[in-house]
Amino acid sequence: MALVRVISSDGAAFLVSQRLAKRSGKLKTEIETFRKSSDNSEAQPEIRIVTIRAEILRLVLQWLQQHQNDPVLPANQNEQDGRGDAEMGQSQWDRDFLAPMDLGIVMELILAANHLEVKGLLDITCKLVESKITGRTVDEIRTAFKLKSDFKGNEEEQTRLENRWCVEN
Amino acid sequence: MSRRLRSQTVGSVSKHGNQAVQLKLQSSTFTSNSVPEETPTKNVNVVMEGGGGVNGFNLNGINLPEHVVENILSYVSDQDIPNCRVVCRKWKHLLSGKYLWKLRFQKRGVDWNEIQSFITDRDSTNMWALLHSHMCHGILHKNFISNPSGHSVTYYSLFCFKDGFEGWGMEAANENRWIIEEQPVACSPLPNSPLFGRVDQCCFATCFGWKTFMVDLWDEGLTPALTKLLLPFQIKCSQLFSTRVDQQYTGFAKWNICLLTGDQNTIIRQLIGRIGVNFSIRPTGEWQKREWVFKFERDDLSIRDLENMRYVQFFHHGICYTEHMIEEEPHNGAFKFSHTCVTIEGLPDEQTTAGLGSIIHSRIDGRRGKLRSSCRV
Repeated sequence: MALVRVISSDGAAFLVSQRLAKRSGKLKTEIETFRKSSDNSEAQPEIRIVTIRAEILRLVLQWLQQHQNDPVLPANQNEQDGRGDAEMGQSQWDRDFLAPMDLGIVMELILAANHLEVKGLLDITCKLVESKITGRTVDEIRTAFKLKSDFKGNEEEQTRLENRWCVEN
Repeated sequence: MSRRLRSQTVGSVSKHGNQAVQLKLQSSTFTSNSVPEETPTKNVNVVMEGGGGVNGFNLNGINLPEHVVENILSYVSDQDIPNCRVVCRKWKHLLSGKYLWKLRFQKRGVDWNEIQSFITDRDSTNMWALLHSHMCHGILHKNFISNPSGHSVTYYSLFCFKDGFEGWGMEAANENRWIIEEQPVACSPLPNSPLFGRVDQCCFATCFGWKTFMVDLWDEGLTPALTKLLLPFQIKCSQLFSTRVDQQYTGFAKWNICLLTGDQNTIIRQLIGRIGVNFSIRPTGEWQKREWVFKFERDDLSIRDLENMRYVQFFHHGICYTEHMIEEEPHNGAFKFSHTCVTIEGLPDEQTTAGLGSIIHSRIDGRRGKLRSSCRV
């Protein structure tokens, strides 16, 4: 079986089947680039992901493996047919997978999923972050994400006034 | 299977130690062109200390690309949108943008094209409020008459009881003067064209009575503030109308569409239609479509009307006599109404080719007033 060696920013190497790796848009491109540039078709590609550390890379690969038989979602799927992933329910496995993570890990996972172009994982992690917004007050949201209010003057007051358009009735 | 994913912990050495091991491995196995485009030396530490980066894109100390933040916000529920707008400027900016809303609608399987005509050239900073209301209430693409042709009783009775006249009001005396015909009696069948997803084959019929439908625009998500954002637009009303052909009768059917104030006492604008039938003119039994519009432009008159407007009332009335008319005669359903429809439609914002209507409107358009020269009225 064709394998590919994926190396994290902190130097841990993961040996993964190429079939699995190709479910990541980024790794797929990298493998194809390697194939084109390599004379030896038997050579095992090695891909260094300099922005993702081992712990996170392991999670991404774990998720990919669990979902290796899902249909591949094109990155711009939403643009194409207007049918979003709203109907693609989250599996119990996904929920168990995400449950123990703190927000910091989830954020890193989002970045990794984005970088490696793994749309399914990006969507479930974004959804998880969204759940930290649901039902919260403005201050709670700011605290949760360590965001500062950067409105100037009465801009914030103005924005709150505009909001009455949608709570008027 | 699970063994395929194998983590090689290359010793428990420090980060840099590991790197060195890997680099050595690499050089011994591969030619240099197998090195990925990003060189290992460019080891970017993505975890920003102290929350650097753009406020709003830096969540919990991690800088996210704009489209990822958009992806997160595209999942936020309608109720949480107002709060998210107040969190910081970047979020407010994103939530005001067309792209994010397009994403939100697409995630719910809503066709973006049905919204498109409303948002071009309009006040882009407040457009979000319209889109938000459309997401909650569907204002930009729906029939405000929730029961346009009479609920088919047989269809609904299996699941739940629905009054066939649901939403329509009438006085007690009129209650048995109206019927719902599952299939229109003694006239052409209704066209198959769907009306906002419904293919109604039934109709309301009367020989002697009135009924009325009151749309509460505020309840339906169309508040005065939002209608001003919609300018210029029109409220379009339409219906199908027919008469039975197998009997001789004389009479008339009437309809009346009013825009009313909040207390329902004052008519802001209204349209009246009427059709007569008599013994000498035999009706054809064909369904005829009637369509009317109330136009609202960017003029003071329109704005004043919109401030006061709360209800749209659709009124149907029919009276007929057969040759041997008796007071309590069996129902003959002479006049039939179906596909009653009230919608809103965006109008082109810039009038380039001035038709008659646009000339009249441009004359009173104080804010723009460009087309005066082309006025030929």
